[in-house]
Amino acid sequence: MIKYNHTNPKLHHNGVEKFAWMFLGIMSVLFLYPMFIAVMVSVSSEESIRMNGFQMIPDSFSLEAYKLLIVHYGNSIARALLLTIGTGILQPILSIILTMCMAYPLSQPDFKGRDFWRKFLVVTMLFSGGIVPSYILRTRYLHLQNNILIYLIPGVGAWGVFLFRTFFVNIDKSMVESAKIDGASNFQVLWKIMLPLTKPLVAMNFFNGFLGRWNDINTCLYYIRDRKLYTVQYLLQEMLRSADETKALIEAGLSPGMDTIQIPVESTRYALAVIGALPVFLLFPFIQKYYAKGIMIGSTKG
Amino acid sequence: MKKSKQARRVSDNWKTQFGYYLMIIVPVLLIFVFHYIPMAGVYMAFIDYKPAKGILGSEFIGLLNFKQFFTSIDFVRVFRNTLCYNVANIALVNIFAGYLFALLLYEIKSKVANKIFHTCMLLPAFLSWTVVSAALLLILHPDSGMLNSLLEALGMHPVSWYQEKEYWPYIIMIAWIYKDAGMASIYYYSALLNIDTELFDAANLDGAGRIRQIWYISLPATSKVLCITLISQLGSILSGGISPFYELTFNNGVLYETTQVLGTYLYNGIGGGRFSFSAAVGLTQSIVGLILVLTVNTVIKKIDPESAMF
Repeated sequence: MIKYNHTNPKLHHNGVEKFAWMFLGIMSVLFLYPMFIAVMVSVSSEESIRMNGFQMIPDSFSLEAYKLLIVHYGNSIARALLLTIGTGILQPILSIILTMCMAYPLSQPDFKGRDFWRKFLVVTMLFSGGIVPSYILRTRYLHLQNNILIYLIPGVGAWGVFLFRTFFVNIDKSMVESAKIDGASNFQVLWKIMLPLTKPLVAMNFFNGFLGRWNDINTCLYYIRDRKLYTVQYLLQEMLRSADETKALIEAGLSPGMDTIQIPVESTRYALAVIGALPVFLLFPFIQKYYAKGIMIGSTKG
Repeated sequence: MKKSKQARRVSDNWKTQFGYYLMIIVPVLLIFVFHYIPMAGVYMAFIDYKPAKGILGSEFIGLLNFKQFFTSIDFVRVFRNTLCYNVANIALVNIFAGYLFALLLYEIKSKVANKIFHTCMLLPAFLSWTVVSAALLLILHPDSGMLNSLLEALGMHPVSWYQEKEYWPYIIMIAWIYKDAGMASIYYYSALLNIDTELFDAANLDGAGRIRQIWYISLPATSKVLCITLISQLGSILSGGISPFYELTFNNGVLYETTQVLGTYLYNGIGGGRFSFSAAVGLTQSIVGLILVLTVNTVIKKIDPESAMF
């Protein structure tokens, strides 16, 4: 009764798989190539760049750029790092806490205003006043221009709230009920029951939030003119603009009394770009782990 | 006896509701301030806003700002660019490249290789556009860029890439695929993982080749995800911020003809102090966005009620 095939199924399979290996292999190399070159340029000597352009393996190596960034420009870099990392951690935490506080009542059947507040959120998904009214509000009325608080405005939005609400709704109701009968307050239920059960979602939101803040230059573009409040990415953006900009920024960051120095423009830019990309590489294993849990819930490959 | 029980229940209920409102008060205030107040701020589009006079003190000029925008030479350019880039983004990045990556990743049976490939493709998604623009500068730098070195080695004339507008649609789309295709592939890939592998075994026994299996099993199984992605992206066809256009081109005026979009146009407007005019541009964008999102949601509701936004 067993039916045998004339053709070997594996043969067909192999052709496509071989193509996939080749294609994805080439793509992966192409995808990593610019990152690799950027690292190499950051350790090239300025002379070899001037003579031969950007190379995979430079003629002469030099750590001048990193030395410059750490020794001469260290204060500005340290300030930018502290600011970006500090606000990058605090803002997502605030956002997640407030998002959960909004999402939890919306997931509880005994909350009376549920429908109204749901609509209150839906409206923000449909229509926005646009960037100009927000800009005027923040600069003229809230005085957030050149103010560190601009980085800390919590991002509570409809998408995030509805995502958390969906997770909360799916949590076993009897657990919440019995906790409430035992006299637990809403905050206790949220902290002790909801939080542990939505850990992957919280982690994913946190990493996304942190990298979102780390990678953002829009806030600086619109609201920050004070060099002391530049983020790392904005500093990089300004340096990439032109060689003069790079020199001006670094010279402005030199401590008084220090002589003007020879600035290796290209390698300094890429040294800063490497610093700008570093958190992504450091956090990637965690991101991948929680992305797998957060997005691909319920799907596993055998 | 009965009455007091009822009274207690009422007060219990009141307490519960109060507890809930205590939780949502801060988020509600934030949403009110940062979403609802700017909505009222669209009034700015109908006045000749002068910072010295304030919003209420400025002169009301009706639709003059809109008229000025629709009749300006920028209008066609900015709308065309925004529309074309967003359509190209959906077609090339989200559908073509994302789907291709997902299909090919699914073919690779080695788990380790799978993870390595996916990591390489996903990494750029988490890098900032500024870092990507630094990488782009490595290739396109007029003096030391790798592309010009290659052209010179081949005996051709180097090109000042940052001065030549006709190349930029291609450059931006390649950069966009580099950054976002890996992320787009995740959704399709997880849809592929949900396919019952017995289907493939059965097809194998029937002698169907792998290409046919992809055509008759993989594609239909993921068509819903594909459809939903496509439609929901159509809703944001006129939206979008200033990335990647600002970062990749450094907002270079020479390239505006092919690279300026609504986001960067609004940024320039605010920088130039043309607040009311920019508010009118922004309001136009918001109204089109509203119509698109409502349409898209109605369509999705018909296809797959679970995926509808509201």
